[in-house]
Amino acid sequence: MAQLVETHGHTHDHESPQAKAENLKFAMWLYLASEVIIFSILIAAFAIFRVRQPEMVDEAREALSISFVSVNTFVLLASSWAMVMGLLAIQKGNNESMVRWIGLTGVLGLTFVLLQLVEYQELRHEGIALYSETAGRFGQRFYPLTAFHGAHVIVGVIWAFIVMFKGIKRQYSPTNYIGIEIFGLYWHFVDVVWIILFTMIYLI
Amino acid sequence: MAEDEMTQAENEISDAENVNEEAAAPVDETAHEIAHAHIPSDTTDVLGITLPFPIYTAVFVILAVLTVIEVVVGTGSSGAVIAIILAAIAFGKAYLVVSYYMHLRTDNRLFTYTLVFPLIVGILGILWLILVAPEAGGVE
Repeated sequence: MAQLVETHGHTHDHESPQAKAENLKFAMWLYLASEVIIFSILIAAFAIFRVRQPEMVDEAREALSISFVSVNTFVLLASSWAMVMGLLAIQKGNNESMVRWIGLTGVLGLTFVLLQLVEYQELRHEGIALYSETAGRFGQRFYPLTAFHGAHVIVGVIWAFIVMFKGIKRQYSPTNYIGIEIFGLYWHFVDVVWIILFTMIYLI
Repeated sequence: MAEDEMTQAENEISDAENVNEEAAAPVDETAHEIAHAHIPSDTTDVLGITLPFPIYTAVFVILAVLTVIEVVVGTGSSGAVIAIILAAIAFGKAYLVVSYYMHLRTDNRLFTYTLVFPLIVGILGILWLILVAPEAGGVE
């Protein structure tokens, strides 16, 4: 808090590196707070449907492959681990290792998106679409929620490769890695949202 | 004469550089402090046992194990109690990521409040819609 207040009224040029880093992180947390509310609305729509129409959700779940989605969940968890290992690598001054870890983060994120598309294809064959007479009401709750999350993953994948590219150009160092840390906050948030969605949509 | 002036000018430049270095020193030290703040070690101590990997890897293993438990419990049975257990595991996993990977355990408390406030609003809003407001789609 002190660091955030310390720079009030000063230009960016006079900010200490620590204060600048704290302010950037605070800005990211404010953005994530707004995301919490947006996801809450979509989750509320699904949760109400789950309570009001349990038989329709149970029927739709027969078409969902839990084992397939569990593997995809594991992939996203692994990407979060890769992300934080990349941060640790640059903190210890190992730029090459950081580039590899962040690259792995992006690849795992891309894998998650591709597997989600495969899941969508399977569900379409099972008759679960955004608009269909039989399972349309489930689809109208399922697709906006998971696709909105998927869009966040796509943005994160692009961001990961940008960070990796900047790492290759040696734009980070043990004394300058706030860009990686900010990306990490976004990426882990996306992971946290999926942890909740996975349990709510596929298990409860 | 000309050489004396050159030497004097070089000394002045040298002094100016020293002053600049002194002025820059605190900033570099601050950056150095940032860089080495909250960096976990290569080993993790759990219940007196030293594991040969950093805390981040330990958290990942716990997350993976909890996910397997979730799937086993969730696909094996259903009911209100199971739902509460699954929700508790999910929130436990989310807590681990937020605390260790997003560093809320060690970062500025303001960041925690920034996350918790909308989270409480969101959870209360969802519970209200489900449990209290049947006209909005809640339980009748």
